Amino acid sequence: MISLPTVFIAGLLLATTVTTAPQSPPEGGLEKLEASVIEHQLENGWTFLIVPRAGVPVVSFHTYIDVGGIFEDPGATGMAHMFEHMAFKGSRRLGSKDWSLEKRALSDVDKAYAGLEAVRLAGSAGAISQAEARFTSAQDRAARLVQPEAFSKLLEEAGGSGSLNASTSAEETNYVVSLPSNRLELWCWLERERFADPVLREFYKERDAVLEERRMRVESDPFGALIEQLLGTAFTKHPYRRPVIGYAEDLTRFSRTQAEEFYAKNYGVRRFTTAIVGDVDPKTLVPMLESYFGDFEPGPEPTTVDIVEPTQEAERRVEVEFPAMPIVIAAWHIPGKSHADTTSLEIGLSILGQAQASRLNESLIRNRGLGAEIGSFSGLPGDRYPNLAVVYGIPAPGVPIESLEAGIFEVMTKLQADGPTDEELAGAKTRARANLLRGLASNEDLAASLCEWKSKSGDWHNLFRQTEVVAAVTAKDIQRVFAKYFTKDNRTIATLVPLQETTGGL
Amino acid sequence: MKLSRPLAALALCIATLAAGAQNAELPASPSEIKAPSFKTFVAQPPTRLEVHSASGDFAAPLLIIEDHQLPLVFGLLLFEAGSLREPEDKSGLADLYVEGLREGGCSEFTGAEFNSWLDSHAVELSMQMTQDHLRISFSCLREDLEGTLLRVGQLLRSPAFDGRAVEVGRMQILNGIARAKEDSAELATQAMNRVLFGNTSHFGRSATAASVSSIAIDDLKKYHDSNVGLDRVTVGISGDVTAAMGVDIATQALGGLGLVGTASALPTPVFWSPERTTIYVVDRPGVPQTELLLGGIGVRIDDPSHAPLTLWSYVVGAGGMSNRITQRVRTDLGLAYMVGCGFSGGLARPGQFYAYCGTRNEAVGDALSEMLEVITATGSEIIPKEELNAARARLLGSQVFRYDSADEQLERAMTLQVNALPSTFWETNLDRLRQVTPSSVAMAVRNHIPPARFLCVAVGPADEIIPYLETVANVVLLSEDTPIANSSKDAQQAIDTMFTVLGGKERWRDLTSVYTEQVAKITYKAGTAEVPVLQWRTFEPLQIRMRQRMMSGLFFTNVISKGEGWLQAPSGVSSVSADSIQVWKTQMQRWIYYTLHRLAQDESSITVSIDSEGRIVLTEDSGQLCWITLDSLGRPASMGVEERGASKVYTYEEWSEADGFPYISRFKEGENQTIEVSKFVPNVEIEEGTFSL
Repeated sequence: MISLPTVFIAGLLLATTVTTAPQSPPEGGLEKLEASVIEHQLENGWTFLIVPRAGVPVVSFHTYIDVGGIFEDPGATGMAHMFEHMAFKGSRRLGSKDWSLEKRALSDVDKAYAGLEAVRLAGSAGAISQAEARFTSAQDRAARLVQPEAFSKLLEEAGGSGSLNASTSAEETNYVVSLPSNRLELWCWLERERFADPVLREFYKERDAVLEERRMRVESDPFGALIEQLLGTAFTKHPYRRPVIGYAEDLTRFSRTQAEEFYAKNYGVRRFTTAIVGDVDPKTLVPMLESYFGDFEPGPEPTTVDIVEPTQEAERRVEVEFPAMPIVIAAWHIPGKSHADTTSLEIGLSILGQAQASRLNESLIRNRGLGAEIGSFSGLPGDRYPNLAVVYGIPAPGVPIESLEAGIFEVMTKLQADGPTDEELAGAKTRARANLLRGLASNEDLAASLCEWKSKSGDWHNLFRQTEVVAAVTAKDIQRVFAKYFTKDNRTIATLVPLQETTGGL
Repeated sequence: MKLSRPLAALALCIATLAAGAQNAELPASPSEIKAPSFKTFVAQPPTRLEVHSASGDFAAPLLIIEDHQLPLVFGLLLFEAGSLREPEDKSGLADLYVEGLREGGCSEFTGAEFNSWLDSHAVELSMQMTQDHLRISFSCLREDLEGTLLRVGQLLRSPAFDGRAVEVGRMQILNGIARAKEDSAELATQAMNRVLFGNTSHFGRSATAASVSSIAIDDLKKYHDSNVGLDRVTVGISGDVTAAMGVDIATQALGGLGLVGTASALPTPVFWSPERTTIYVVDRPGVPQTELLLGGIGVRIDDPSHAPLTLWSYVVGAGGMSNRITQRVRTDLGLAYMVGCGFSGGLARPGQFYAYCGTRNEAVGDALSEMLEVITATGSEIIPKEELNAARARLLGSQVFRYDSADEQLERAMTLQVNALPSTFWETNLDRLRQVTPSSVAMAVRNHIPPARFLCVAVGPADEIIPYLETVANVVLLSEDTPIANSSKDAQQAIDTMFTVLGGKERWRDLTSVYTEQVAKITYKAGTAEVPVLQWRTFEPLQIRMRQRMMSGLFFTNVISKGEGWLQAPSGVSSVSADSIQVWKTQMQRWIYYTLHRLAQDESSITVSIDSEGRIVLTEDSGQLCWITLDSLGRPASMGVEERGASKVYTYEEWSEADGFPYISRFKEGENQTIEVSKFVPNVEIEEGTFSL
């Protein structure tokens, strides 16, 4: 036997030395894991889900906020995502060289930007140029008072450099980081600063960075460009039709003041769920959470989106010209996550296009050679409200996109008519169970799943009930939901049409 | 306290929130937080077992880490194979092999039956080819470990490479090749490999439609038979499995694999560094954003410069947002969303330096200038200790997350196993990072990040971006026909560049004698020894006098001059045999300084070329003289010679200067000798009688 590989973490004082397996030993499996989840809701409505996991001395933090793109005002698309970026910019006492001076400088930036916007609407070229110069000058003065990346720096130097992140979707915003477990109070301190006292400094430079993100994800990416048009066509009323990253026209217009308004309107802590999973002791953690977060006001009453997407009456089509090879995406309106049909739809889509030997793979790629890549999923662009189930395909070289599209519908029609085989259904259920287990394995994934189920279903226990719900699905259920939702009138087809012969490359 | 306000009071909202945010009972700043000590963590070592062959005469290593929290198992098989072992004219073979293996079935089941079984048991199976390994990994429910591994074993024992499955795989690879043209980052990586390593290098080539189309099923079978056997695999299992169960199942599944013999040696990459910063533009019309990629040589992880360079990369562009490039290009200027730099690889061979940025087309010149400025600035400064410590904290603080699951611990252990590294390797590496100082960073950057000689690739609409890029550096529009500097016809250019870096040809032409004082540190099975050596050499004629103190403490002196040789030992002076004189003469002819002297003379008897690995090959009528590789600055990095029927490689680890004359101050001879040169005198005056005894 060779000597043990030891890993000592740098720069930390020695205390207890723990030799350990990565996770706790087996004692009851899922039931034990479920029983170990502690829910603690503060009086203000902020919910914390705590899962102590002995073993490696690390903790994953996941703050999930029920705020996403669908809560944005018209003309300010992308604001939820923009605020997510700004939530790393620090507070009055974190990130400023002199807050009293910076406060005035930021006010000057706001005024200069308002002035610039005003002359852009009605001013001469010379006036615009002068206003731009004033705006640039105001930004430069404010920038000189900033301590760069003070917020991120503290978390990164505490061990969070590989995990510090955030994301925004149509209906939620997530802030995540994993740290060594002795940094628990640092996380509390910073999360409090982030949400109690955010200062939206360096706003317009960050807005430029977000525009670059849009160029990367949407304007230079064939799938990104196609999805944006698909959503805009499939939804006519519901805000799911708007891109989370925002339209370029809005991104170049909205202001720092609007971002502050968005925060004040939407970031009430009753919309907050935070999961903390890892090497923690609830006895010390809960009082700490009360100290750091108990004095937040509940904030505005959480709102919901009342707009109902009208029933689609006829097939819709949209073509996007793009310098790329063809893609086809077919999308059907389906109900939101809490609807009784959701699980049957998910199992059906798994059989249709999510497995190695899925119907689409076997028929259209392996047997008929029509496609190079095909798949299916649901929940586009979110799943809290009625959303889209999607089948996408990339034709094999030389295959007309119409042939692939027709092939997709043939396979779906057959699955609807014949229903899945017993083996297919059993396999899909087994995959659902295995995927549930895989999603519980890491601290990060468990924290994310608990937050999502708590927020979207109202009870995180539903995460652990999924295998039972899945087990109840029958072949007839799948036939029924396919017949109900995957109709011609209910679908939108988006195709990417090559703009020109792709000449790039080597 | 009020942390939220009605919309009517929005104008006051932020200020009011801020006032409330300062709770007097809580620390006013993070520095006031008393963090408890970190629980020093010792990773669980794997249980080391073996998979014995059916005949019992061979055993492959098996590593198992038990983790019983969830009823899941992770498996990993690493075969010493890899894309670097695909034939030169069959780029893409390794990928097609994987498709054929994965989908093509075997004598026990078809590909469709295999997929159905995996689906019905929720097994996630992945087969990939890295440069060095065929990597097969799977995740399954506990009860399916046996079924999964047995089927994988059957597939590996008798793959059918079914023709239809291979053709589907070929179609998907061809589609991927075509689709890569729609991915700026992928295009940039391909172009960078091409210009950095050369068209003909294993490291620079990309699969093409033609190369993939030319691969036959027999090629796949041949590759399999040459590379996939029990004697090439390392097996790992982690999760809800006991060691006894793991070894039993692995032996059943894999013990029947045949033996295929020792793996062929892999090529060493030779990097190219242009004489001046050069931007290669790949045209991607119609996109609003340009992808910029800077590239250059990295170092092996065991190189003394690796730790300083790694830490430097965290100062400049890695490890989150708190680095200079992100601060400058993204935060200050808003020019990019994705921007940064780092080093890749380094375990099996020198890794690669890269820096990247995606920016709007009209800003491409500004973004590139800023990146270059940030990077080059660090070459002429001593990075403040506080900044270096902050980078170190970011790097070291997150190390624990490399061990926070059984699967990750297994991956780390497997990496050590397949690279034959000691169990203390990771810890030693961390220690090196802890010891990095501002001055060691400065030295490493000076040696490895050449200013004004960057290689850059820009992928975007050529017409739009070239005018901006031309304000920054030399621009070359890259197409399939563009000559690449690192090709055989440019071998002479490489040599010319080398002499420019080494102070000009003339000084090497004029170099006629050398005196050195050095210590050879020799590693034996039984231990190490240090042998001090004094050398006098002349080139015209070739003569040497070498005086060394042997381990015994006794001094010996060799002299070879004008076809004669003598050895002076404590017992007296004796003549050297003719055979030994010939060996000495060959060695003298292939000494790096003498080789450079001859090259500087433009001797017509020496022809130069660049081989498929990008090495400069020197050939005479009598055969290959040697090969030379160059480092990022263009100096000799290594030399390979044939000595007594065996290959020997000299690795030049450190260059210094003596009165302005560059010389190698530390080098390795073979695997077990490291020579430190303490004194180097070029064109030394030779006293009469030096070359006689």
